[in-house]
Amino acid sequence: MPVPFRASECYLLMESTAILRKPIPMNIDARARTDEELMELVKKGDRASFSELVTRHSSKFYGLAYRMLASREEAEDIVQESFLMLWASPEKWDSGRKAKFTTWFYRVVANACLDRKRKAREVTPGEDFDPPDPGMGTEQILENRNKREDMERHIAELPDSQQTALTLCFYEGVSNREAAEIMGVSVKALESLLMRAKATLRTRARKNTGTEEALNG
Amino acid sequence: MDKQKFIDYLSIYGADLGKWPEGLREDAQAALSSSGELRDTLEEEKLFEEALNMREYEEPSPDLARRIINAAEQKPAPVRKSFTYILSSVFSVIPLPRPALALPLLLILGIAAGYIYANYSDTDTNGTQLAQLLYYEEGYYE
Repeated sequence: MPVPFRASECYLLMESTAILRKPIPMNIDARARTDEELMELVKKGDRASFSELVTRHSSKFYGLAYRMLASREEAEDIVQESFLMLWASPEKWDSGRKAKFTTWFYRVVANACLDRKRKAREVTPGEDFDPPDPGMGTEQILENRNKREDMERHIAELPDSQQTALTLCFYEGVSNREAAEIMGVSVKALESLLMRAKATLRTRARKNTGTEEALNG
Repeated sequence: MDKQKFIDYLSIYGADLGKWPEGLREDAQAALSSSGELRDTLEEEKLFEEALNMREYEEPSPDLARRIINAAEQKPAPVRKSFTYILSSVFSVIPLPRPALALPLLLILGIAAGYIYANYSDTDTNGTQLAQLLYYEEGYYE
């Protein structure tokens, strides 16, 4: 006569085999865990792991959001929204794809920033992105402008993809390979974006009297 | 390495030659030692990067992380029991002999495989927007 066998025992058997993911030991401090381990625990509703991820990375992702939006308030808003999305739907991160948590979350934050910028443009079309009218005494206007504001404007005028590549690689110090992964493009395409972004900025900086002086020391 | 190639690499890897890939770094240093024009180009790039670094940067509020954690505490934990766990809970109340378990087990494995596959294809949505952006803005894809 067959031995009675409960389905719960079957579940335990499966858990102990390689069919399911290797269990994460629970007696380790959250600070000692990798981001990816923390994410696995967040999926199980572990608040301490979520808090550790926020503490560890909120400043880093704020940096990206600030560079893309040029506003502390908006950047903080985006980072908060993105982390709350992570808490509400942690299954969106798929450990099976072997992506680093930070690579995936950079992408989430960058997308949220692009959405925000797009909505802002719909409300005030072209307000921040129109180049100065050459017929309006541009040189005089530019001479009076702060070099920093000029650079901000030149960068804001770049296409979003070039701006994102520049922000990730130059300002955030992300490797070209990881930046390409974040943006979902090949490394060659990423490098092309970087080259065009910097070429455009150099050209515009040279045209700008103030920046020309800075370049010449 | 000619001037245009050198400028391209400067754009890709930056004015700090220490951060260039090893092979390229050696080529660049050899080219620099024999060309005053390239040395001027490198100096110009350093000044250009200084100008890029003039952009304003405001540090985040010191309590940003705390605010996010507090906001999450207002929301329920995303408890999402696995499919096998749910099924095992259902079946655990019914003692079953082993042969009777074989068929449902195959069914469970089939459904689980479909479930994992569905999740796998869903996760790409986050990447779509940036990739589409590149397609529309730059006129090509990858």
